[in-house]
This record gives sequence, C-alpha cells and structure tokens, in this order.
Amino acid sequence: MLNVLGTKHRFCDGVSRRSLLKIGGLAMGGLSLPDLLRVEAATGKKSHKAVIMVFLSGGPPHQDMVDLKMDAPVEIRGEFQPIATKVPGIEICELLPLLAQRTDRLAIIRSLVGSEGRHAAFQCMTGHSVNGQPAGGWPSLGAAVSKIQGPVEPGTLPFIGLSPRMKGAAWADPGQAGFAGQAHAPFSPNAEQARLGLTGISMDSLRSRKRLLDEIDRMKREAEQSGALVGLESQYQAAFGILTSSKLVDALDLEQEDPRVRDRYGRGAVENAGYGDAGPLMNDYLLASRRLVEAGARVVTLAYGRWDWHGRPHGTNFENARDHFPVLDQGLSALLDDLQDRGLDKDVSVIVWGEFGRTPVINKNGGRDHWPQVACAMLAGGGIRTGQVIGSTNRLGEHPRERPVHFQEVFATLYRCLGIDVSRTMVPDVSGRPQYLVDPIYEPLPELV
Amino acid sequence: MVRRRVMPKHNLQLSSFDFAHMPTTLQLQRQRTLTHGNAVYWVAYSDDGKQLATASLDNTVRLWDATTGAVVGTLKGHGDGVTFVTYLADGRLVTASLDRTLKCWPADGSAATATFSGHQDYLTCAAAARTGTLLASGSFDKTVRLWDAQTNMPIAVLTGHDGNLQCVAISGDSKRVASGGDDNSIRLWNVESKSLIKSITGHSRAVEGVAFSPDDQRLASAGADGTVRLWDAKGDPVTTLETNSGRVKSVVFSPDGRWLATGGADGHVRIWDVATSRLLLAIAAHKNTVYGLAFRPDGKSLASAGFDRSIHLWSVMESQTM
Repeated sequence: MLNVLGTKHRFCDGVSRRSLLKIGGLAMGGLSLPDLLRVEAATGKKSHKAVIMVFLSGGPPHQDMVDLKMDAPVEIRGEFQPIATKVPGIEICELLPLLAQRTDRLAIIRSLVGSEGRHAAFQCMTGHSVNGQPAGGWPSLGAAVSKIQGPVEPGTLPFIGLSPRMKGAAWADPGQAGFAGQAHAPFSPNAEQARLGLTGISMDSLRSRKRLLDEIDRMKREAEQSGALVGLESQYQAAFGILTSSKLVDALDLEQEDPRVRDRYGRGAVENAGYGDAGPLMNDYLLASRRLVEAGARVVTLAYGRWDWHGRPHGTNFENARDHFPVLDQGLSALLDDLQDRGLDKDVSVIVWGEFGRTPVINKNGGRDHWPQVACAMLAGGGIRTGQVIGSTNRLGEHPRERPVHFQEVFATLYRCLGIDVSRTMVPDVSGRPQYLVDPIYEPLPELV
Repeated sequence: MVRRRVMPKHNLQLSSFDFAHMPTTLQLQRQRTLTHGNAVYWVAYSDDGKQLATASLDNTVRLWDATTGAVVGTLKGHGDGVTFVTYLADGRLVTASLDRTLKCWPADGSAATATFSGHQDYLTCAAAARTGTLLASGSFDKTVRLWDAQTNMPIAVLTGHDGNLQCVAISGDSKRVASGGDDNSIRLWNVESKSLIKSITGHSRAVEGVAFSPDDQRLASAGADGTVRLWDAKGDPVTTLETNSGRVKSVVFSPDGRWLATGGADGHVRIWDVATSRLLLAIAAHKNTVYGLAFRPDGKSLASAGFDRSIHLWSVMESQTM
C-alpha cells in the first residue's frame, strides 16, 4: 500500500484523494511482477486454482457445530442435537441441515491444534504464530500466492480481501503482505466500510471512467507539483487499469447477478455483526467470492460474523449460534452448490474456520470462552477427498483423541491445492533469507490430497 | 369444562373457562414484522399507542410508526448494545445500554439531553415509572440504582444482590422497585427509604424478568428455571406457571391486568389468564429467544422482540365461545 500524506481532498463523487491513492497502491500488486507473469504465460496453463477462505472471526464453538458431545454432562453438552448427514456415520449440528445434506462435499477437521490463542485473523491467514516472524513478517496465503503465481492474466488481481473495517482490527485483517512485499497486499474493496465497492467509489462513478480519469489527472498534476509521485505514473496507470477493468467491476457488482442466485445465498446483513467489531454476516460476500474467483482472483478472504460468544449480556452461546448457524448453513451450502454447478469445485478450495475453539464447560453467563487446545475446520472443493471427518476429540471435546491437525498442515494442503509444493518453494524475506511458507515438518494432509 | 379448537399451524390455542363468564379464546395474528441489524432486547409503545420504540444490540434504538411500520427515528449515541427503552410520561424517551449508561432523549428523537453514569459494569436492565420521573437500573455490578429523570441526578445505590442483575421493575405508585438476577432471588425495595423490603426466593435459577401488575397487587417473575411465578404485594407466593420452554426471559401484564404474556428461549410467546393461571395461548413467534414484550396501551396489540433481530406486531383477538 502506498501511503501519501497530504491535505485531505475530496473528489466530486465523494471519494477522498487519500483513499484513491490507497486504492492505487493496493491494486498495483498484480502488475509489478512481469517476470512471474511471463512464467505463467510460459506454462500456457488455463486452469485457475483458487482458495476462498471464510474466517469465522472470534472462534466458533467446535462442540456445538460439527463435534457434538452428547455423552458429556449437561454443563458441557449444550442445547443442540446432532443430525445425521448424507455421509453415514457423520453427524453435525441440527442447525446446519443444508450442510448436512452436503457432507459428501465437505472434509471436516475435528482436531485442529496449534492455535496461538489470540483473537486475530493472523494465524488463519498465514498459518503461523505472530511471534518469531522472519524479517518483514509472514505473508498471508493470498500474498504468498500473489508473489509466487502473480495474476491469472494481465488486468486481474490475485488476492482480494473482502473484510470490512471493523472495531476489532485484528479480525479485519484480510491477510498481510509480509515479506512478499506490499505489492502483494490484498486489494480490499471493503476496507473503509462494509459495502462492496471500491472504497467509496460507486459502481456508477467507476464506470464513468472519463470523470475518474479526469480526477486522476488533476490529482497527478497536484502531486507532480509537490514532487510526491515522481516516477509512479506508469504504475498508477496500470493500477487504475485494473480498477476500471470490467471484470473486476462486474465481479463486485452483485446487481448483475441473478436475484434468484442471491436469494439462494441468502444475501445477509451489511452491518458488522456483534457490536460492530466483527465481520458482517453477509452471504452476498460468499457469492462475491465466487464471482471474484471467476474474474481471476486466486485467493479471496473474508471475515464472517462474530463468533466470540462469551454469553450474556451479549446473548448466550446458543442464542448466537441460533443466529449465526442458519445463515452460514445457507450461504456456505449455496456456495458449494454454485461452485459445483459452474464446474469450479475441482479448482476452488473453500475453507471455513476460526482462530480457536470454545471451552467445553458452559460459563455462568451461558457462553463458552476461548479454547486454543482444539478447534474445527471445514474444507471443500479444490479436488480434495471429501465426505470424511479427520480427527476426533475426547468425550468432553477438550483435546484431540486422534489425528491432531496443525494449522500449518492445513496451509500445506491449501498450497498444494493451488499447485504450490511447500516442500520445494521458498520465498526470500526482506533480509534476503529464503523462507519456507510452511515449516518443513508439516506436509499436506494425506487424507485430503 | 375446557373448550379446545383446532389449532392452526404454528398457533396453539387453548381456552380458559371463567365460571363467571363464557370461555375466552385468545388469538394472536401477526400484523407486521420489523427488523434490526442485531438482536432486539426491548420494545415499548408510546402512551398513545401510535409509536413503537425498539432497543437493539446494534447499539441503536429505532422509533417506528406502529401503524405503518415506517422508521420515524433512530437514536444513536450508545457505545454498546441497548437493553431498554421506554417513553416517559412527559413524552421523552429513556434508554439503557451495556455501555453502563442511561440516556434521556427528546420526544422528537433528536440528540440525547442527559446521560446517567455510575454503574461499574454492564447495565442490563432498567425501568421507568408510569407516572413521574423515577428511573431504576440494574447492572452486572450487582447494584440497583435509582435516578430522577427530572433533575438528572442519582437517587440511590441499592446493594444486596449477590449476582448480576437481569431485570428491574417499578410499581405503578413508584413506591417499590423489584429486581432480579443471577443469585436466583427477587429483591423488593422501598424507594422512599432506599432500603430492602424483602428478598424473595423460589426460582431455582436466575430471575430473568419481573413486572408489577397494573394495580400493583401482583408481581410476576420469569426464571431461567422455566417457570413464571406470581407473588402478592407482600412478596408471598401465589402460583407457579410451568412453561417447559427452557429459560423464560420476558414477562409483562396486559394493561387491564387480566393476562400475563411471557417469552422464552424456545421463541414462543405465551399468554396466561392471571385469575385462573391457565395458559390461554402459546405461539411459535420467534426463531430465537424472546427478549421483550409490550402490550399497546389499549391492549389490542402485542409487540414481541427477539434475539432473531425481529419485532413482531400482533393483533390480540379475544372471543368468547359457547
């Protein structure tokens, strides 16, 4: 991201000059790697692997979602019943009936371990702990993929983060650039607020390219007078070329989508969930993720809902589950169907998870607190072997009983799905030292790939 | 003899028999649904019944035209979920929030004119006198605080609860305050002497809601133990109503005092005949816990507010059958 400080100036369509510069800086990521573009062009490949990462900000209750503990005592068991699914022997929460009909397309991890126990998207975005990072910081999945693979084709963006700005800044993190470099930071159309668009620029105004370019010209003239943007002209032209390309605009403009498709997803609420500090429960963004992948994105991330359910007075764990589960059930099921219907399910991986699990014992306020000892995740698509559960927890859902799965194993799997062999791929950090993206002791989950 | 009718879908009707009158049948017909961006914790009608105010975890209060359902105002200013709203006798509005404050707002919904601070933890519940300017609030700091909405000054801090406060109510004559909470008890307080009248026990789990009857002769309490209990003016038990609904969160008397409406974790609204303790009606109203209930002053409409982000407006239809 390019930060240009200066007098705040608002364009006629309401977008500030500072915002516009930020957009340009973010969007440059895909175009500053002509060498990688050439590599991709040389391979001649047309298939387009991608990952959609749904970050359940706050940490979902594993034991109420996909690992119900009916043999546990009442202070642990919870209020929900398990239901049978399409795959014999696999049961999930009764509030997820649509996903239950699609478990043949899901791989459910019940034994996710290695959480650093911190409220942040960081570990779900990078696979790593925030502590002990190499020089420049760990790149997120999207930034690393942008660095390694570049854009699918000129004029597309490899990494898009749909998370809006929210009070919980660590939850809003769509995935940092890290040592991949700021050129590979996500393009974040919702960075200013939860509204699909280009940081305050409406679709109409964006389509009015002449007016926008006029503004850019004026901004450039001002900048040139100050000398702030010397040498950046070509990059800005390229960046705005992406922003004004019809592919990106069309992908973000859900009004172009069949209303029936939007209804299948469930649309959702644009307001940030919880108390404004977490992601919106916005199923339109799940649909937008699919559209962005079709428009060339390799990685799309989004924070979804508020899953930090400590209990009253902000509603019990179970009241919040009754609020969130059905919405996720509808949106995720629609996404799985959509990917399948459009022939994308072998190419596009979907992962749904949060930063940790929740305490087995229900607290005095009807909530469940943080539980880094074990968590859950759901994966789909990308050619992985689905219709299975990986790992299990003990009777009380306290810790893995078999097959603990580390965050980094999931990342190794996602990279594999994207065509990146983490055992052979190294990216130099800012000190020039080559770094593996995943610690070498971790490999893709053999159960899935 | 109890008459039963064929139950329409999602609408369980029971009948009560009053030996002095013909059996009464109640029916709720949903007229309108309003929504917030998050869970709705409280609902209140204006004195003329023309306006509705709803308090939400989305940090706002919305004011609605009760007839058309149009939003006529939004109260913004609280920094956390809003747990309570009501209209004062002079037309002003008062709100309470998890941000530990109460606020007074002009009738036109413009910016707050007063903020009451003092609670040291989440402010979960509040009440306003039907007449006069007495306010009461309860908090996770285990205190009940009394305030004067005329002078905007604190009146008292009432201590004694041994757990988080979940509910508070003021009697119609403004002489008593009832509070309930996680210590499973109800406390009756004397407003004038600022002292405890009685600690009432009976619920086996948290007391989630309390309400005085219009004539102040009955106190109703809703419990996380799934029961609704009626107490006399002295705080002695009158009867216990079993709901089988799990936690009962909301309780309110009808304006004429004949009925008691309750809402619970099962999303049902139930209406009971106070005189006979009979269940008159149970209806699957919400997809989540029912947090707030309010009768329109004429008793012909009921508003229910839920954690499912919605407010339903119901016509209350009473008929007598042979």
